[in-house]
Amino acid sequence: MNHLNEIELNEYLDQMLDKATQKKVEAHLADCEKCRAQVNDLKTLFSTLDELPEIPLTRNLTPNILVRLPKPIRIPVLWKEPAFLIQSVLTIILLALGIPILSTKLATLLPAASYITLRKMLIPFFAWDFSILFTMPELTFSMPTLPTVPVSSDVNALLMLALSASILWGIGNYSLLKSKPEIQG
Amino acid sequence: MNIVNDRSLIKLAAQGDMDAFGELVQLHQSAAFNVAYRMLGNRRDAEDAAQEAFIRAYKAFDKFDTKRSFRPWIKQITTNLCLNRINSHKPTLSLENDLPPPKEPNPGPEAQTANSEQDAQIRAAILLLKPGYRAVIELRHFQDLNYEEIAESLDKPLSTVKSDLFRARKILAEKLKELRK
Repeated sequence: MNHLNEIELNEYLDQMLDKATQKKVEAHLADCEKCRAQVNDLKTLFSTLDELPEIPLTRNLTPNILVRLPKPIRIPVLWKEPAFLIQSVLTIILLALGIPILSTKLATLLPAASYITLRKMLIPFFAWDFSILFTMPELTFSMPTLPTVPVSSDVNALLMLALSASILWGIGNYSLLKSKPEIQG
Repeated sequence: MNIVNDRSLIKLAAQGDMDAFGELVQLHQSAAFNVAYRMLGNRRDAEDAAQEAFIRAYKAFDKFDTKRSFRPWIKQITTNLCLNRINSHKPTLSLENDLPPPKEPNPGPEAQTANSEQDAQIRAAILLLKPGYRAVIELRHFQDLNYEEIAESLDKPLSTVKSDLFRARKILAEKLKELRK
């Protein structure tokens, strides 16, 4: 008679065998006194371990643990910061006002800039005029048309805009830097 | 144990709420301590290991699946921590006492007074097992993990876990048989 091996014995006791193998093991145990004795020894061990009582903890470990925990750094939620909100709104307003003004200014200062050909763009990079070899395509593109706003586009208006932006930006940054991360605990 | 309460505490603790973490410690410190006590064999080292395990858990909260229960997790952390300590022979100094721990496993007077002689002998027999055997006995019999979970927890092949478990049981069963004679 082939006795049960250790794996079969242990997996039987851990109830990790499939049903067919479990039945075979049970059938073998019914006939084999040696294997039955081994199973009984292990069952006794299992119940002894199950019944091993817990040792009471005589002191509270919580205070020592809490003292040793790394202190969490609470990072401020950026979008909840008033300074961040003000700066965002300010940026949008300044962009909405500044881009049309700047584009109007640029159009008067650099009229050629609104119409550029590919050849004009490439000429500064090549000393030799390679147009002898082939004709360059006259691909052109123009600056997008920007909306006009009822704001004076003179230099004073631009300066005022830049100055007010700088002041508000400075206030916003000061406010953000002032609210340092809070250290808990 | 109130599972709902446990979950809400875990959620708060994961967000850095120390009070919530303190309550979790309060609820599960005894379980972690008992794991460490079975693995290390003396109260002072067990308390120190349990504390260390909670600190590790706190630091690793981002890896913890909050749908799981906290207790099995802290018990597994404690087991692995104890196993590492035993394997590295790291001196485990207690917070309130700087004396080094005894080298020989000693179940301690409290185990002998609070439990039967047999319990104390079984604890001593567990402590005499190889660290790897001790860990598989702890995880299978006291934490009810299956073979695959033990293999994952200890980062060992399944076949090694099975053979370690069977050998450890054999040693303990023989010891128990001797005690009962």
